[in-house]
Amino acid sequence: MKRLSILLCTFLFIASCEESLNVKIPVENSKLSVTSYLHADDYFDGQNSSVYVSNSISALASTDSYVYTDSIPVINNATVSIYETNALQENVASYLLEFDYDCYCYINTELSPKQNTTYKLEVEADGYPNVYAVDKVPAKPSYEITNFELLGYLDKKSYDGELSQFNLVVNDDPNAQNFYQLKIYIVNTSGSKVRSCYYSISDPSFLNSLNNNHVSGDNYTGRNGYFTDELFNGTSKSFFIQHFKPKGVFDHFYIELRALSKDLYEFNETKKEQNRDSNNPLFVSEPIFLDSNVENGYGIFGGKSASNKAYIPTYFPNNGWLLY
Amino acid sequence: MNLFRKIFVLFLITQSSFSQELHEISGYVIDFETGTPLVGANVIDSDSGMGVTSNYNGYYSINVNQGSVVLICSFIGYTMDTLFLEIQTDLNRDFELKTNAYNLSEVTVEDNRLNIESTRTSVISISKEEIKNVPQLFGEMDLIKAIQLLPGIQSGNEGTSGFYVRGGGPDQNLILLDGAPVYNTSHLLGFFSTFNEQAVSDIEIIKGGFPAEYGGRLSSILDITGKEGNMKEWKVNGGLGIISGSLSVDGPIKKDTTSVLLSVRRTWIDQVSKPLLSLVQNSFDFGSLEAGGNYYFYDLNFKLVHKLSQKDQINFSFYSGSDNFSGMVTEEEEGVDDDYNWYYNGSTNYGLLWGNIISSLNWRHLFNDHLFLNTTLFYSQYAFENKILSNSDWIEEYPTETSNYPSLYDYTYESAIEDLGIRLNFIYDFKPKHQLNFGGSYIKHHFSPSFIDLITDNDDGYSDTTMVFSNVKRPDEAFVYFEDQYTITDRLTSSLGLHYSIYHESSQFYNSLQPRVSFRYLLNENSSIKLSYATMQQNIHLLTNSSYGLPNDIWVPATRDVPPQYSQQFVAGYNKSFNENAFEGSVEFYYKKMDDLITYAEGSNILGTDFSSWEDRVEMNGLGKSYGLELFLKKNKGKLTGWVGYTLSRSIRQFDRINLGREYPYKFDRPHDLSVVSSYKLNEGTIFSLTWVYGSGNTITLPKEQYLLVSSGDAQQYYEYGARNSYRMQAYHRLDFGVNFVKQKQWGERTWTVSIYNVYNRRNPFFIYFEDFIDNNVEYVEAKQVSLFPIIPTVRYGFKF
Repeated sequence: MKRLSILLCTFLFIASCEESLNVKIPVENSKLSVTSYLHADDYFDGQNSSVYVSNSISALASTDSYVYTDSIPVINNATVSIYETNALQENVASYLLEFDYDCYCYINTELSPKQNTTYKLEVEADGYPNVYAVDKVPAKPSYEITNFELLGYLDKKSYDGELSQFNLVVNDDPNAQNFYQLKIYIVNTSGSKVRSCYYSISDPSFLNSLNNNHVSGDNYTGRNGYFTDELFNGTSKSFFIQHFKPKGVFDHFYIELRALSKDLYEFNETKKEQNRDSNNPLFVSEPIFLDSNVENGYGIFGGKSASNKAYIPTYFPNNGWLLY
Repeated sequence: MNLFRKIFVLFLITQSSFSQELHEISGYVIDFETGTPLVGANVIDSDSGMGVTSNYNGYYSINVNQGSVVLICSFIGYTMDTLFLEIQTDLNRDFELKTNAYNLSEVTVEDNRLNIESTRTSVISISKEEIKNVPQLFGEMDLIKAIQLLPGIQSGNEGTSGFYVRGGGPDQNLILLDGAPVYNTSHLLGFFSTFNEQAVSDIEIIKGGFPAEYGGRLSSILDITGKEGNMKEWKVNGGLGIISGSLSVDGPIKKDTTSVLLSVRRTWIDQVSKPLLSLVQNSFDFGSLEAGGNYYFYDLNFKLVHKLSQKDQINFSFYSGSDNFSGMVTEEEEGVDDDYNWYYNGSTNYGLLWGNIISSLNWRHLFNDHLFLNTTLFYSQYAFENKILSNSDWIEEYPTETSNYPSLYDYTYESAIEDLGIRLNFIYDFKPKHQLNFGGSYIKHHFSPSFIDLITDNDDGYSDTTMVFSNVKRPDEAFVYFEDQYTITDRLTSSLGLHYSIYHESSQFYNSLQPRVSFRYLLNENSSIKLSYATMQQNIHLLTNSSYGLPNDIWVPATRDVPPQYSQQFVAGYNKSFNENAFEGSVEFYYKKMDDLITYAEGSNILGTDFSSWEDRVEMNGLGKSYGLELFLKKNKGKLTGWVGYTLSRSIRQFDRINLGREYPYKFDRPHDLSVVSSYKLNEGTIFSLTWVYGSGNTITLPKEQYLLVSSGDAQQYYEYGARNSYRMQAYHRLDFGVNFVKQKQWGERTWTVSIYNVYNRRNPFFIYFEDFIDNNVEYVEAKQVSLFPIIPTVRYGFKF
């Protein structure tokens, strides 16, 4: 449908004329933009868990208005602290993060976020209002793999069809609202190659705005599916999955089921929907605001955890699964 | 005679003069040349100054005092007719008026009084003669664009046919063509309306103080009467313009008994644009893409009129019109990746088809001089279809093998609304001071809001899916109404009505009792003040993302989860004519409150591939508020005629989950709206016209800040938006000029129309977007405004014989 715009825009091009405008937008004080993920049981070393700090600029400002460190648009002299809190919101541990020039982010390798734990982020930088954010790292999701069938060849280079099918049985916590993300990776250990795999699921839980580009009817086919427990809260939910292999030679694959915090899930939802061209009168959707949990700033401080199960036929010729 | 007896005699004489017997004069107002009835003609008793207008059958009925009476009948574009009568009993007299299209001044002198005397507020009747001299886009006479020049009625974006009445949305206007509802009035993104002026006779627009016989929309009633065929002789009427051509043939099948009219209009923009598209394709580099397209629209109107007797007439009316857009894009690319060469070729065919089929069968019956019935059976359908057929081939060439990945994408999207209904309207002249209107209506709706059939065949497999985002809905809608127009005193008249509607969808019922009240008080014979109050319920909604008549604007019904919309409107007005009716003016204040509005949720639109139900994509329980002051001054006499209309207004919306629940300006909130329309008759064959419009800019939501989300060395840019519709684009203003050269020929009449749209080439804002560009490795953002129509001269040739 987007390519249809070529034809319609041709008509408008013929009929229209364009000029640059001197649009006056009220000047806002610059704020901090924080991108931070807390990954359970991962060290805060910039791989999966990190804090990136940038700044906001006026909508019409050029990109050289950002603060740069080397050529990366990040601030390197902010004071970044993460506090582990208890149920009474009291700080039980504090971590001061330092700027790392390898990842251009703030890290502290002594911090390893724990599941079911709440953390508070504070960022201070000269010339910007202080920002705060709170989020909880969800518990690692519990699930089993049942009715597994291997249908293809892991190590056949040109084969890219259905590799396996199985039931993913999610044991949902009835005491919480849960948000999930499912990925399947395939690995060539010797070649240090990891690729994500397509999979297919037919279930209404996968019919949501985050997945809509990959949904046909009630069938989701993609590599990065999101779902919530809205339709099966507190019960064991079984998803039948067809798993497809990309071309190449591999020796094992693993399933990664992630649990996301509510803030992180909703942030991902609104991030997907925001449309920069919202004022195009032909194909317009009203602009939306990114759902941020950062007070006085922008971005996300989001917790997530993952449970991985691998299928390694080379080492487990009896088709066993192991935690990964 | 003593003093008491003198007083008594004097009293008796006085009473007798105030107690003169009233008699009724009734009959038809007919076009002398064609034999067709004239709707809205004015019949005035010149002694009392009281007057009436002929109804949609051309029938009038007026009460006069016994004795000598002078009745004057007038209608714009026709020579006045005067009857000198001696009235002793009820009388039946017809008026046959002769056309005099260019003597507007004489025709309209007496019309103004009815604006002063009528109890109805916010009503404007327009004839084609008044608007046909108004210069328009591409020289095409467009009725909808003409009414946008009236106070309280605004256009949306540049050049479009959508109209917004007193802060209401484009779906809140009930548009009737010979009694049948019209759901889509736009061709070509709304740049032209679906109403071919050659097939239209009269237009009436009601902005407030709605009569009880109307319902189902919140903001306005646009009642269009189709032209009837000539009852005397065959006529041909046509025109050739830059964008379209039209031809109309009408005449008697049986003189004075049966007539027929057939009118067609088609655009030839498809022929005109072909060389332009080739030029664009050849002049600009679209990379590996090649594109082609075709577009046309047409309208066909048919009307059959048969007079069964003096008291019975049957009309059959039919309209069909559609837009057809097709296009094709092809692409070929090749490259090298890792250890293989790749080739890609693909083609995509697009089709967009949308249109209306509208039909009505109408029976007008005169029981007697007091009771009149109009029965209409109607059908209306609007449908939209979008097809995309895409075939592609991806080939990977390895040293030892070649892999081929064909792909098929076959997408069909359909949406439709259909109505079948019946309406009965009774008019009963109960007493000289009472006219009762009553009746009812029933409509069966059929909604198919969206239906998708998708066939894909690629390396993920074959899939054939049918998706219905909303089940077909078949709601019922019915109403009954009663209205009493009562002359309380010589100065005070009231119209008291009740409209009761009931709506049923699945197991859900919505009903409402809607009072419709208006009063008119004559200050003197040249001025009056009016008050009105009306409540309305609207059981259908239009989901739209833009102001255009985009074909994928979807009509959806009220359901259990999405209730109807409601409005209350209060109007106060003052009408005056002066300088011996050479001028008429009015001032009207209105306040309108709307409840249960719906709109797309943030981030939602109907394009794209979000497969959730429409009910999940809207925000409900919205509130709307609009208020304003309308000033209208019209000159009717002399060589120079025209009007000035100014509206000062505000229109506001509020939804709990939009703009953080705060009130925000409606997209088409336009605090100032001014139209100056003038026509100067140089001589019988030459008429100049000049129109100038000014309006505050439309509101939009602009980003206020941009920021980055950085992770793993990748930075993505996002915008933070300001408050909804907090930015107002530049004001819109435009000057149009036109001249009509009319010449009588032996074979008939020809008219050359030369017009210039946007004389001083004002670059009015169409939309604003932000564009990134890079200069010396620094990325800048520039706000750009797109304007649509520059200065456009046009020529049109019209003929009739």
